[in-house]
Amino acid sequence: MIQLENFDREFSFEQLVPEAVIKSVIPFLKKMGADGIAIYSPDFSLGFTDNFALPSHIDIIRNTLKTLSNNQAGKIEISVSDILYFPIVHEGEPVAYFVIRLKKNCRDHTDILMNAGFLLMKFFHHFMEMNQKMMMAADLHTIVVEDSFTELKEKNQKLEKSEKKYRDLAKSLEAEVEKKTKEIKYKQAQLLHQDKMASIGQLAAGVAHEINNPIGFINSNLETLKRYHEDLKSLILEYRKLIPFASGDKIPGKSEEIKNLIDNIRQIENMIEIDFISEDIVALLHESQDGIDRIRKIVTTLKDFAHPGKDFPEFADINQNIESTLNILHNEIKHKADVIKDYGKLPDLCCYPRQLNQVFMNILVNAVQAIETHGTISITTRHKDTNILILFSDTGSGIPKKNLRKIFDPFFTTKEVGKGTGLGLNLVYGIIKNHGGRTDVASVAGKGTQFVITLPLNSPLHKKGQNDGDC
Amino acid sequence: MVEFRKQEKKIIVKIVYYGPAMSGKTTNLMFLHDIMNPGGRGELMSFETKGDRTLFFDLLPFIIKKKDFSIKIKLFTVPGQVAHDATRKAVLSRADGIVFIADSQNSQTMNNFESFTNLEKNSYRVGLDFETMPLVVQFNKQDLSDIVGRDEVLEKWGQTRLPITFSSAIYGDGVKETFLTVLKRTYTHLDKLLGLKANHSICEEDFIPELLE
Repeated sequence: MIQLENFDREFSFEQLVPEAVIKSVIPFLKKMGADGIAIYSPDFSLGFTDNFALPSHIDIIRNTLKTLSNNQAGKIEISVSDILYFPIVHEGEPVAYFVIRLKKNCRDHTDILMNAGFLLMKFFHHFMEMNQKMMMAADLHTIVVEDSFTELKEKNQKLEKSEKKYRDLAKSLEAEVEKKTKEIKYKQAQLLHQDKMASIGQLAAGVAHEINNPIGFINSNLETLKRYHEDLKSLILEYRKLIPFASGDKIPGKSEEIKNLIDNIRQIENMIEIDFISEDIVALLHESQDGIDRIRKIVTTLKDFAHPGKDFPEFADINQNIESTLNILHNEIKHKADVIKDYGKLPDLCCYPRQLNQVFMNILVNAVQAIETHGTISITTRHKDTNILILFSDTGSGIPKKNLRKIFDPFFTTKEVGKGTGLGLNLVYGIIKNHGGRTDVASVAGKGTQFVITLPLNSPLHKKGQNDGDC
Repeated sequence: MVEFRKQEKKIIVKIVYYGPAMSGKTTNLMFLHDIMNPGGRGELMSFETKGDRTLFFDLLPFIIKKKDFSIKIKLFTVPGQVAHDATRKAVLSRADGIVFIADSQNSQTMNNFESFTNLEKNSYRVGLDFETMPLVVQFNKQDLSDIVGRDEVLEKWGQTRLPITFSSAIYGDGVKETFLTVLKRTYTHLDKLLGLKANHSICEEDFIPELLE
């Protein structure tokens, strides 16, 4: 950095009037009759000289200058010549004394040199003022520029510092965002899992009912069969008593005994209603077998539905999938809606069947929940060009227009807190997208909602399935 | 900062006229220039722009010669325009006394306040002790109408405990009074600092130049 001088400092004569300026006037003074030139400082020491060496003169002049009171120019007469002195005043005080010694025997030049001296006094006075003004302005300007520069530099440093801070912040933000994204993804996966678990839980209630019912009557049938067995056992015991007679050893004279035994048997047969029992046993066994079949069917569908295993696509009949989902939801739907099925003939689709089951279930559960008292759910499937179309229509409460755009957003729900995860339709959307298809929705508030699922037959899954799966 | 040149037996004192733009700082100096004895004073050095606005500063130096020493006092003005703050700061540096020229017009109340706050801030920035600094406040342009009343000025500015003068610099009224007040205050301050009277036999009167009535 430049070492700056104070602009308001004191300026000396030497600073304000360069020697070159003085030297430039000397030849003219000499032409006018000057012999030597000297400049005294305010403390009367000798400064610049030109042909001015006589010590006696120097002291005479100094003594004269010391006694000056009002900064007046004057003349000292010495033996063969005159010495003229001119105080140079600046800022109200003499800053130098300009001294001219005349050539010997040139006293007739005194007047003209006196006037030249006055002229120089004025000239130096104004020259110094101008020069000081310029120097002060220049110095002040430099100070101001330097000051502004320093200020700018400081500002710049501050800016750099804050910029670095923001850069660091941005970096850490990025990391933070990445971390949060991971967390959110994890949470979302967890929620999706929870949603699945919740629907399975919902199912479990329905399924339990479905299974409990046959178990109930199978149990009661078994009780009845046990009783029938007791009755038949007592009857058989009576029959066995007849066996010895049948062998012929004891027949003579025993007809009375036989007759009694047979009466007894007839009596028991009447008592236990043997004809009814033999018919009822068949009926009970049939009924129980039916019940067991029903249970087996439910368990099989449930297994199909919730099977967590296979991760590879396989060929599936969509109509069957819908049917199996309806089976599971049978208990949920039967009291609230009539289901009208219109299945078209469909080619097998390469897909993740269990994922699609989840889709159908989520849509159907929504449909059921949208129906307040009793309504209709229509399911239509069609094969059109290279797509399979699946339409689910319900006569439920419908979706208000303002919500329609948002229903596929994750966590969007109009259900009470804790009732819906807001992931059901998001899952639908995600799964269908994953199958290369699309989900469209149309709804009129108060009238009902229609979901249209379009699944392409040659989806990317098809290729994947050919490599890894069963397709 | 006062300069004490022992060899030359000379003290150099700096007094700065501060205040908002067009409040009459230069006018104060012009009037002082006119009433000073030409023997001891220098020229009024002005840097003016077209609109009579001070671009850099004004300088009026004068010398008071006593038998054993001389006192050189330099009066400076700062540019009042807000934009020239760096210049103002540089000119204020090393001040031994300050005159704050306020514009008495009602419309200028805010400017006075802002400029005074700026003075306080710049004093701190250039290392002046604002609390002990000899400071006189002059309410100029008393000749105009629509000005803040004296009572109101005294009530508001009295809290600062600073000496307050009223002036009409364009006619010279109050300029001398302000000037003498700041000189006396500056003397008292420097005397405390340097022992002017005890060590150098310089008394208050020695700080006051010959002025025409």
